[in-house]
Amino acid sequence: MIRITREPMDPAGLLAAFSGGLDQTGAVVSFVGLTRAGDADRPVTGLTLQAHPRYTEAVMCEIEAEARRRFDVQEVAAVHRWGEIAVGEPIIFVAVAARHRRPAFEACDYLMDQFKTRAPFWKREDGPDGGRWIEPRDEDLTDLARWAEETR
Amino acid sequence: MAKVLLFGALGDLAGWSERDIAADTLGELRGAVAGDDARLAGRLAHASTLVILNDALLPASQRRDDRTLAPADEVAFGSPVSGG
Repeated sequence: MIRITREPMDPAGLLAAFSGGLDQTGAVVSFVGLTRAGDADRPVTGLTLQAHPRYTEAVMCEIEAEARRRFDVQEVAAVHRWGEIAVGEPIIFVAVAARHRRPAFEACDYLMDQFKTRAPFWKREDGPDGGRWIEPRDEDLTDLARWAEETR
Repeated sequence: MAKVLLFGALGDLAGWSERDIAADTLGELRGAVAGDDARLAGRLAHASTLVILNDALLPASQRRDDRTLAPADEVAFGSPVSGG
């Protein structure tokens, strides 16, 4: 299940709903990404994310399908916020259910690396000096390469 | 009229994010979006710019100026994304 939303999210409520009624599941791994304040050199008061009305969710659904093919998991959920997001607020929630813990951990890690590099959100860091659009970081590509090497 | 969406830095450069523009080809559309702004024109034609036609990414090989557009097409241009 993939969803993008402009509304604030409640990770505890999402996790409770996701974990309910899974009687064949031995492991649920979840991740919550928060909006970080930046540092002294570049203070950040919030993020503004733009999403394409259909393409953004479509790419996230492709990533979910890849994770389901790659790992032995039962359920996957991801909720991603867009719009204006204040520091400290959740921006992404990912949960994976599996019979055993290892594929749940790995699939959650994989999903986050893929979302962080491939999900088409245009992200602006807003601070006292105005906004700055964020371009891809080298570290993101290194994270992504971890998963390519494994399949060689 | 094609519906045009601009995302990220491209919207800031143009000063708008959504507009209906009459254009028969992608080249005409890019020209109308950029107007006399050479910097925006350069960004719109750059290989790193995302071009999303309706629901799908348009590969670089299909972004020629003479690519025809249908009146109901929606064309989105976005600066390179860093992910979610």
